[in-house]
Amino acid sequence: MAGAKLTAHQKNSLAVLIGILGSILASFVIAVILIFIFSRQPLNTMRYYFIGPFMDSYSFFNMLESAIPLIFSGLGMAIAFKSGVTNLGGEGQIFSGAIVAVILGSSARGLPGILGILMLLATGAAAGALLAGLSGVLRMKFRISDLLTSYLISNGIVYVINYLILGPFRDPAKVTIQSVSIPTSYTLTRFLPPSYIHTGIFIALAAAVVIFIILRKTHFGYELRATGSNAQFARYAGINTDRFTVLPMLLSGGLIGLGGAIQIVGRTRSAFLDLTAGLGWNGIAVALIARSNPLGVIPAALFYAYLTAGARAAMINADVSVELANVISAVIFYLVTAEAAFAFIRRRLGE
Amino acid sequence: MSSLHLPMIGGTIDIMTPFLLAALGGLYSSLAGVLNIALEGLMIFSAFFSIVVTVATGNLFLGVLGGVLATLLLTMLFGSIALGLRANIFICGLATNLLASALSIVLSLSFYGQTGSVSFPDMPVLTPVRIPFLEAIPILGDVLSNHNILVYISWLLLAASSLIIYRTPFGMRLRAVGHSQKAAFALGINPRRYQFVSLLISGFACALGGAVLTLTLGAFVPNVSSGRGWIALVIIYLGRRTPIGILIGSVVFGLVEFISNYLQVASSIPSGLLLAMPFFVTVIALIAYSLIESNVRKGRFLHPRKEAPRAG
Repeated sequence: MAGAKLTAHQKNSLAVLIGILGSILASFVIAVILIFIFSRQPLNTMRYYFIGPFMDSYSFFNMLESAIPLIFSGLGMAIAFKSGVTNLGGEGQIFSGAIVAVILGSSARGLPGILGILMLLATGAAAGALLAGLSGVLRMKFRISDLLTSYLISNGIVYVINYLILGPFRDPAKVTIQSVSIPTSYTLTRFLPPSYIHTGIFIALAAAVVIFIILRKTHFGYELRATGSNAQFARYAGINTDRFTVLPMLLSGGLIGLGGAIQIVGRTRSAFLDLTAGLGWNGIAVALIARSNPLGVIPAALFYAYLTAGARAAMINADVSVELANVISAVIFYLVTAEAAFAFIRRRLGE
Repeated sequence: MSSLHLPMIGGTIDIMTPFLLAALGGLYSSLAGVLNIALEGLMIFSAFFSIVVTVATGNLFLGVLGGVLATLLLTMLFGSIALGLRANIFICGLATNLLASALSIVLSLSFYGQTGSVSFPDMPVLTPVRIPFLEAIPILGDVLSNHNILVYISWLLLAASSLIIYRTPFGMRLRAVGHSQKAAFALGINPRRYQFVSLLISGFACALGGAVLTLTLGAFVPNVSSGRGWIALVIIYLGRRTPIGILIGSVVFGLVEFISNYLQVASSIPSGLLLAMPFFVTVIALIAYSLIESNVRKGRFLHPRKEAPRAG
């Protein structure tokens, strides 16, 4: 097929890339089919769905903005996948990062801006880390499945945070249901108004690079990946694998919680009931598309942001529900791990 | 007996039914060695389609049938991708949950013009049925009778499952597949076929569980299952993958939810916090179970005649 001879490793990477692009393409085909089924003006809906985010600079930069929390949750999930722990608590971790930032930011108002922002980001990350870390500790100490506890703890916490927003921290001055707000001095700069894009995007990009370096270039990262790919082997090699059930969870939850705090200081200033909007689950999809490569998370998050921005544009201007984006991401979920498909592509490349 | 006890038992029996059905379904896939985290989505899918068909036909039987058929289709999709295309079963389970939740909302918009809760005041709902011979039982007769038909069906399925799993060739082969795929294959059993069938059984049972949720309510609420499918996974684990263990687990979690519901009416604790209670109780139950089990294991070391605990 290809003119030059490819090494086995290159062939494998190429097969993975083709597989991922193939499943994305397949998901678009299914999106088109779904739009034709559910929309009364399918051509109009398709126009908004596929080119809505590129119609003007306002929509385009807002799409970039919506990739920011996705990069964080994608990075958090990538770390979990790489180290062999399971974090299904993304929703609760994002939400708790956000609510802690709101509570702290609205009560401690007197700090200089940059210090205040750093404080909110740090505590948001700590909140997410604690939630996920708890699942790690439960797995290490009691051998309880982190798949179950991370989901259960997160789901319980979401109800508690909903209660905080509806009750003690609700802003009575607002018509809509939302929490009290952090002061404007604690917000990140919006550098391309009127769009919402803020300097948090640079923090997100930096985080991806830092995580990449930690995973690929440090001894810690090596031990983490070794534990993730074969815990028994890692144990024989003298790696303290117990440590690598809790630490990756802390790191994963911390990044995801940071994503929640960034939403507050960058975008919303206050928390509301549907703040997470599936970001925790979409983070898993982003990590899968990126094959858990921290740098790959960036394009994967952008792609995902495009998918949701398109659905949102179609919902506002045409007649489909924004959940259509979730149907399409379910299709991506299904296809992106289809090993048989990858094996088939590998065989074809081998010929 | 004080006045609270009898309604409490009766209420718990109603509330535990979705748990019991979902856990029973998940038991089959778990025994066949398939990680089925899609119980939640399968319940939501049936909850939606059973109400759609009931509203369209005005017939509850057809409604349940519609929910079951739709859910079996979704299970086939899940099973053929996970087992046929050898995709990661865990990710496929997530995909199924996501698909069921999102598709039910998308369809709700196109059928009823609404993405939130939709209620149908005129549709028939599942009503309690009195069973004469159950009522004849002293003291418990009143609480055992007077439930909707799916509650009784869940008991029949539970009884049938203890026979199917332990007393039939099918059940033994199913467990053999879960125990060792290679050994089962060597015995001429096709592991993938048994795993696929186990998924279909779990789809069927979850479909009944989902139908209970909406057909007693007369309304569809997005994500109506609200975590029950996940708690059912915990019930399977805590019930040590046995039908009787699942019954006990379902009673316990049914009781927790009943108390949570009761306190929402009767106490000043904010209802938002009470909704969180079942999830935290579940985590605490997992910790307690682990502590008890490790103590039992230590005890076993003192009596080396007993079989040594297997890892995992």
